[in-house]
Amino acid sequence: MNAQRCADSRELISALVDGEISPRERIELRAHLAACRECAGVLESYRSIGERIRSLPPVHAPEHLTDTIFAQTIDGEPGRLFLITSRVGYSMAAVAAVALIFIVSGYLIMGGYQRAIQPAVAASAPTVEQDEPWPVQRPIEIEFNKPMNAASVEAALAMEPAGEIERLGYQWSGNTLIIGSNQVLRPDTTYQIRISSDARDDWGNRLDPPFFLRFTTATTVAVFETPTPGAETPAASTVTPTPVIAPATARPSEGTPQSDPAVISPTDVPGTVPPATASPIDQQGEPGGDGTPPAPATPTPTPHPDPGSGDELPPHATPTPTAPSVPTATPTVVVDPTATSTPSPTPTAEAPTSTPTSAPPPTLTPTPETFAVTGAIGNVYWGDELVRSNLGEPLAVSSTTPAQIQGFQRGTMFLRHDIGWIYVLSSDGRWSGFIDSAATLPEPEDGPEPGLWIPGGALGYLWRADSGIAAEIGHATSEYATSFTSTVQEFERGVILVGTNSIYVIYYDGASTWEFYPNIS
Amino acid sequence: MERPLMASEEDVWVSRAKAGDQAAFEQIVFRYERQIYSFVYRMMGDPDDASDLTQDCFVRAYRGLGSTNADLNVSAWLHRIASNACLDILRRRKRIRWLPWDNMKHEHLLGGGELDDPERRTFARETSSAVQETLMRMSPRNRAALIMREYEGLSCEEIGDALGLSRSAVKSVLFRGREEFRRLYTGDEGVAS
Repeated sequence: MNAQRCADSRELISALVDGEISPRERIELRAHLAACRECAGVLESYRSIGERIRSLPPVHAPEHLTDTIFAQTIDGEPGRLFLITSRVGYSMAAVAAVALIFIVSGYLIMGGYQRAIQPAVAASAPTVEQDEPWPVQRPIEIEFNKPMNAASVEAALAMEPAGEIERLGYQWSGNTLIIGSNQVLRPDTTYQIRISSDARDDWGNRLDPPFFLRFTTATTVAVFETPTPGAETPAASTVTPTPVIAPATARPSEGTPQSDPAVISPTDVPGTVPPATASPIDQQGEPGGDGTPPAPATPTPTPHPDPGSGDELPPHATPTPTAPSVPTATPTVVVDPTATSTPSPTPTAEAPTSTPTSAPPPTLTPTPETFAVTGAIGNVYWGDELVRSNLGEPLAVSSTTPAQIQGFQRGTMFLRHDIGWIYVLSSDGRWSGFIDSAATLPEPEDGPEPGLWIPGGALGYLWRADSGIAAEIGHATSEYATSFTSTVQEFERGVILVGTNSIYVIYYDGASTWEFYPNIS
Repeated sequence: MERPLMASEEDVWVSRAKAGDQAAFEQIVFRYERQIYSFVYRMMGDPDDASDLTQDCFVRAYRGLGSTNADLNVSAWLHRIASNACLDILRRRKRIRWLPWDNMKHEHLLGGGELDDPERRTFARETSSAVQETLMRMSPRNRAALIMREYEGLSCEEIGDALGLSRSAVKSVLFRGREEFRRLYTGDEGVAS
């Protein structure tokens, strides 16, 4: 790691601890911290210093101090002398003394009470039970039961869709954190907010329990004439569906398999990557009656049933694509049925550049070797026993990769360039995996209303190719995806991805679930 | 006898105290005496110094109240007076005060009685002792900024008001303070990695 870069980062790390850092600096710094363990250690060290100083016991001033101060200030004033030398003055002084004792006692008691009580979220708007769509013009308010350390709360805060917390911004009003006071929320969008127990009060006590809020905003979007926005664009008609890796369970889009790329199930074999054999499409989107992933099977070529673009069938080059060079356990890859139906590429068609090759991915099995889980990933892995038990043991140390992330109305898309893989994280808590096979990178286009976009780039290519994705996660909530350096680490039963604001835990379980945590690094 | 002023009426206290209302000044003392004493105590590491300088701080405040601005931030203002007094004393002593921290000497002043377990209590005391000793070995300005930020919970803006620094300068001082603390503490115990 560049020494000068590290030196420049140190003061920013200190500013991060104080909450004195701009959103842009925060993003850049987090990218650096994800890649530089030394600087990540410095951050931990700075936080530790704060904890140690805050843990110093409170100091009690000597009882006589107040009298001594008054003796040197107001007791020297004529008015006060009169009060305590006259008969009335003595009476009033007695009343005043009682009042003062009451005030001081109250102050001390309240101070002690404030210090002792566990910080928690007292109320929120919308509430955690919010069922009705939330108006887009209303900010989100989270009220704590006591004064909080703003920097720690902001560091422990994560919001989905990705990028929304930076756009909406936040401010404090007393004990209440207000998100989006000067911005409207996205319409018809599912928001998820998590504040981890790393949030602390002014006395260093951890938030307990952690806070999670999920709600959907009201729609202000007119009903579309066309089934999918992507289909409205010229680019959409020329985009070729891509080979897909999908969870064992169905996405909503899987109900319309005629327009979907092939759906593939992730493996449930910890630490192993099955050969690149494909599963037949499950029309119900379910791998089996018992909910377990289907056994790997030879791809069954089927004619492409897409009625809308039959003259531009996707020209996938190879009949047996496999996952990209995944270093660890990955979902099983299944070939797009249209690709397997044509043993060789259609000469006139444009071949996706990222079409998988026939080489099977390397198979890795867990070894007795123990790999460290540290930094931002370690915070999540070691901080939550359930995450640890669900993921299993690490299969390798963490690595960094260029990545892109983009928020959508009801989810997030995450592209990791090291293996050319796109995760579609739906706000219903399930994920799908796709190979990045973008042959052309479309430009983003205006969405159905201001503030929403038809995405461009590699993510937009996939979004336009698979109408199911568009139906599931809606439109992009930013014009462009954010490019950054992500840290990833593979585990026996999943992977952890470090995003710009959140850390994503992807489980290779039967239900293909995911969850997110604040990136407190 | 007028009713006591509540904490939310701080601006009223100040304006009335400036107008000569002694009861209003009393409220300011009640509100900030303990906070200023704690700050000075952590700065100087000595209860006698803390008492003397806290008195001195409020006497100066009492005399200077009439010349303050209408939008006075009382906390930052009192911390400025207190930190100036501390820094002045430390300068005059012409050495960085670093005395071994004697827990027995400070026992009666410190809280932490909520720890029933004797071992935990001992460990907490030893940790506090190491932290306080490290603070005492730091340069006074870095120490003041770090105590105000981490112990008192003041914002960078308030620390800037107290130390007469710009916001960016406060960030630099806090950065240098953390580096200094880390170096000194790690050198002692190798714990604050």
